Amino acid sequence: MTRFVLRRIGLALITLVLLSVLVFIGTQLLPGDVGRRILGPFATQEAVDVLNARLGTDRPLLVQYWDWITSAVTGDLGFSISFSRPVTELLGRALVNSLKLGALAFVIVVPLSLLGGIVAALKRGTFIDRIITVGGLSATVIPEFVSGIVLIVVFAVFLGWLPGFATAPPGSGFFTQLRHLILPAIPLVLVLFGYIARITRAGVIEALDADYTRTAILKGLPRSTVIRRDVLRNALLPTIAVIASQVGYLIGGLVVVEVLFGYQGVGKLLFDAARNADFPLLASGVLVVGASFQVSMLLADVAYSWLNPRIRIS
Amino acid sequence: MDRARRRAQMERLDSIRRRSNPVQNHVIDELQYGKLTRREFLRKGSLLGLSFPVMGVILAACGDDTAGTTTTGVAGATTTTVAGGGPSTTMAAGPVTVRTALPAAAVGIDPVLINDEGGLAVFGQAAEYLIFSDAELNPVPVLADSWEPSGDGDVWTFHLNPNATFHDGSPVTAEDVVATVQGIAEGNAASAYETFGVDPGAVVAVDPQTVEFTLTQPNGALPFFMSSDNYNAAILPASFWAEYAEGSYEQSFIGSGPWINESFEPGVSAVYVKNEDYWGDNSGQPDRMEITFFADEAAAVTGFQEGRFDTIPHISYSGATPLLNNPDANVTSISTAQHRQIYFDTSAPPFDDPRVRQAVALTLDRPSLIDGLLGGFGVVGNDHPIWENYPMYNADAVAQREADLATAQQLLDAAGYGDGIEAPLDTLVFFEVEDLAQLVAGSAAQIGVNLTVGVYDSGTYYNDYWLAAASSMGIVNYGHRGVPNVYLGAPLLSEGTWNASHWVNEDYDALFDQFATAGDLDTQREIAGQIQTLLSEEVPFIVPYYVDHISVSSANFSGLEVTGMGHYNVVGASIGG
Repeated sequence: MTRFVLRRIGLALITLVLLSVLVFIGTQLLPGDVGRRILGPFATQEAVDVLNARLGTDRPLLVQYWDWITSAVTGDLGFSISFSRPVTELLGRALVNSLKLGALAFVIVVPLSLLGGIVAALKRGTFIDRIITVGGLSATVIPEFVSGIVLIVVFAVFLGWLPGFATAPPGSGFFTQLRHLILPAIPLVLVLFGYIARITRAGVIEALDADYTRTAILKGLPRSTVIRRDVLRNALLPTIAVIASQVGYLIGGLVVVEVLFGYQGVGKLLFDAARNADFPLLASGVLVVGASFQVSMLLADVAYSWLNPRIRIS
Repeated sequence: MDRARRRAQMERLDSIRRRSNPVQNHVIDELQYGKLTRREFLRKGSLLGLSFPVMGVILAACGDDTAGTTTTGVAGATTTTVAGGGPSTTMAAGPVTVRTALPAAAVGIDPVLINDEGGLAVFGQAAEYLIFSDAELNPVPVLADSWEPSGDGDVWTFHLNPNATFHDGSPVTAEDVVATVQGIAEGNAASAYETFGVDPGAVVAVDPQTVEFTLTQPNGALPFFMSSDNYNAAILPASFWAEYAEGSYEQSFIGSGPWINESFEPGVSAVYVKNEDYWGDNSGQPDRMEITFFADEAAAVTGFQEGRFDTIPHISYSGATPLLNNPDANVTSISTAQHRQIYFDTSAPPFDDPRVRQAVALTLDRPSLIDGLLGGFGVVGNDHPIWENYPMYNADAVAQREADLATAQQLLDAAGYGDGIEAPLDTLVFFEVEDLAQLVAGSAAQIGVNLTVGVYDSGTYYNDYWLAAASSMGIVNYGHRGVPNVYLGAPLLSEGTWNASHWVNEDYDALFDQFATAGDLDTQREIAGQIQTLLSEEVPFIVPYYVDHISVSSANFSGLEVTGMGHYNVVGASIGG
């Protein structure tokens, strides 16, 4: 088991190094130089040159990359040009925010879609099954900015039940913050529900058709016990893998929802960084998102192999 | 009784005249001969250093009955009001909190680097300027009590208010002013130094309350350089400047203003509390101000509709649309000098012929553009950047250009392009500008000028298209300014660094020199008239309209003051009642 985990960590690190190179090159492709971006098009060229020299953006690319990557490894992710503070501080806060939103979406979507998938599988072929699978798929393809705007208009503006602006006023307590996050969590639930429910459904169907299930039923065990003990444990394996793979999306991929609801998570932070050509923040931010993907995939693999001894042994 | 009183007034006027320099006397003459309205006199006189009480005496002597003005030290809380006025307040039971929404600044709150409205609006809360330029371009004394030019206008002296102090109790002195002027010279404000002829090495603290500027050439509008219009120029302590580094301002938010910063989370929120030891009069000021930053205007509008914000000081027309018919929302606007410029590349065919440029200009139905794109929140432009509310605007110079397709076609035919023209029209993503581009293309197509619209993000546009126009047209935005010098300089001079139309005209260069150095309003207005005429004939760019600055407040909120620049002031605000 340990060897497995160590090997996975090694692969993750290699992936991150490659990612860092790609990200760095990508940020260099943004038009305009950094000094000009900060001071705007109407500033004098002398002022722009002075600023570039001060920020060190006129050094050779290799030097800038090496500087950045060696600092990042020791925990210093650089200094954000547009926010004038350490990247670590900004990303830390944004990460916490994204995790809050992601956790809420998670807590809602996982039980809901598991239940949906199981019910659809048990009632395979019936009307209920159709509703859940087709409905889930339809919900997945609705773009987040569409569902988000509809939710805001209906629940925040018309009915006034929930706040449409996700950032709670400064100093709010836990439940107030939670209340502000309900509406932005719903588009995420809609996107993920169909996917997780279908995977669950497929897993449950496969387990229901398996030999060991038939044996258990023929042995005389009550159906509910069979489902609980044999079917679900096997059916949920692929589901866990899918759920874990979505954690990365919940951390860095929520740009649309965060901007729409005015919420400073990692997605919105990176969006602002790209708009302002804030290279240190953008590069370090993408690296952190990549790292969280790797961590969540690693945890998924570990959980999967722990639940499924067959993987461990092979 | 009347005659005695009258004689006393004239005697007082005479003694004022004897104390004043020739330029100030000229303005008094203009008032006496009826060439200036009361408001214009107040504005021009204060610019030249006449204090408000003195102007009150002059106005009374010249037959104006509503004499008596008061100003307070709080930037813009009152401007010119009848004596005895002041900010109105309601007696609130508990602490009053004002909640506003502002666009997120593109860079950190740094006096050297701020370059957009989000940044300057925040910066201007804790920090103050020598002079505050209000919505009507009146220069209101804040940290500077008074100021005057020397005979020629190339030396300006500012007298500081001896009571002004920073939040830490230290007094605001001339040293701080000098340190500020030198500190921001290399940043976003650098181009303003050129425009106004300011040499940071030639700014001197004569004594702790007096600062002297020796300019590289006379300039009649220098006070605006030290006003809130030059938004980087808020006065900060010399001790701050001695240790300045990027990001250091956000550690302290030091300033002399009526608000003290309590917390700041970039891109998210900022909280300010009332400065109880403020050096001026802020008795009616709310206790607390919470600012929420938004990246997307729709999110701010939603928040407002939910009752999350009391006011959004600046909102675009498209953002304000859902609130226009909302009884709980109070949508207000002020006219500003902000305008769009549709420029031509005048250095190459087809747009090197002024007849072609005039033809395109004649295809636009400007009132319809304002109604459709701005919902009526705008003022028609006449192809020059001298906004009608500038004191030197010459109303008699040029008739307003209106849509005239017949003449346009004639001009185009005479220029030899009767068969039509194909050219690109490039612009950036900025509020309604891309829609304007489409409408311009549609209008021009009526005479055979076929423009292919290209829309780019602002970084790409300014980098690759703005100054690189080649046989093409483009659209760019110019934000509000208290004087037109910025618009008339770099974008139009033959050697100008912002001259996107590559327009070279020696007559214009000469006129601009005269305009910038002209000391009195009459001369300025006369030259402005010549400039307006020349630009209208040559049309290096079309100015279709000036854009209003729109604000929205909840129905029970009053006392918001905004400027075209983007500053806002809620010191005199009240909620309820």
